[in-house]
Amino acid sequence: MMVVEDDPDIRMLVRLRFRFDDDFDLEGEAADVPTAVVHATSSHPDLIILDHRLEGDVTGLEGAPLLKQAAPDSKIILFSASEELRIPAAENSAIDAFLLKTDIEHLVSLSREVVGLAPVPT
Amino acid sequence: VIEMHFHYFVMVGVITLYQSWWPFLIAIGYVVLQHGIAGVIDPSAVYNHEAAIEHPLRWAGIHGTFILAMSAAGIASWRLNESFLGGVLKAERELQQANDAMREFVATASHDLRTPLTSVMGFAQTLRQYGDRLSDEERRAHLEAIERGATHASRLVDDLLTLSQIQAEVLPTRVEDTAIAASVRQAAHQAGVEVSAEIDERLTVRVDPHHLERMLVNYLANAQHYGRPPISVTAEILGSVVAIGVHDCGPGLPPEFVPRVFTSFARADPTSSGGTGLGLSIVRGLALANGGEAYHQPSDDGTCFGIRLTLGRPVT
Repeated sequence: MMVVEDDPDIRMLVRLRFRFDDDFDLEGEAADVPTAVVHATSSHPDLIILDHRLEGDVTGLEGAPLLKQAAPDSKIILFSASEELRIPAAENSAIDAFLLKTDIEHLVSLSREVVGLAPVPT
Repeated sequence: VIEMHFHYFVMVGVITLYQSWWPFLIAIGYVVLQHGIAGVIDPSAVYNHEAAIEHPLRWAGIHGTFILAMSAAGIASWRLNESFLGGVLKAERELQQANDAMREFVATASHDLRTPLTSVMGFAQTLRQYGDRLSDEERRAHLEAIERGATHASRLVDDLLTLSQIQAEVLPTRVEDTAIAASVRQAAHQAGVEVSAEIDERLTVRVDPHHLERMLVNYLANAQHYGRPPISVTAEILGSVVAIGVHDCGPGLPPEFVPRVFTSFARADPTSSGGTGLGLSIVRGLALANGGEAYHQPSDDGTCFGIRLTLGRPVT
């Protein structure tokens, strides 16, 4: 999996959340879309956790089709602090799911669902 | 002819009602055409009494004057109506703009609050669930991230509350003669910024001292974060006003950003972190609340942000 996020604390947090799930390996991190596209082209991650507001001119919503083009089999979760993006994300065919950042406790379970893994028993 | 005039007045009414020149032009054209044709074919239909037939030019003058006067009345009422409707439309447009701005403000405030709260909640949950599987160093790093998130959220809430008080005009303001040099020293200390300032110790401005300090802290923090040293503060007397300027030697603002610089959540670089995006809008609000104004002035060797406040009595 890959995380595309400009805030270093949130990047660290996402890394941490997936550290305790053996089914995921973090293959790359990026703070902007062009770097993420390069990573996606070479590593073809199964899952991309994508923020909307990123470094550079390209937003997550705009960058999702580029990432999908670079790695067509990757599933993309738009992980944003803007509730207003829920509908645009649903209308963007490159995005597979949307999660509000404050719902981060559901990030791993949603990721498992999106990539087709069985839920972890709680 | 009398019926013709009746039609004409109805058309004037139509002009007023529909706010369009076309019925007016059609009515005028119709009247001129009808009078012209009728005047040739059957002059008595137009010049309907002997005096008119004897003096057609005089008659046409009186008749034309009458029509022009009534047209002017119609147009005047149209203009009046247009002006009224224009005012209503302008007010509606302004209300719409205010609504859009408020919607954007709420959306940005929600986003900017959720981001640090995500850190706080996420790291706290992780520490609770997996704390025993983390090293001491990791736990410390995560606690520091929680502290950063909480500090940022708290600063944002403070700024939002201040801004709300300013906008609602309920911010407690106690204007008094406030020494500029002493305020600059306090602000520099609070912002942790090294500042050079050659300001007469006796020079004062009419302002709430806490507000002056906060305005200077915001400017100095911005100068340090986005500009380059050396940072200096000047105070220049301009008649009954003092211009207090905070100068830095940074690259300045992108020209396209200048008109928005004092707007809430406006950032020249949206990805820059640290600030709440409200500092300069708070300065503007505080300056206005104290009867002054905030300004930005680019220069060849950097940039200058300042405030103009009323000159106070010198400290004795």
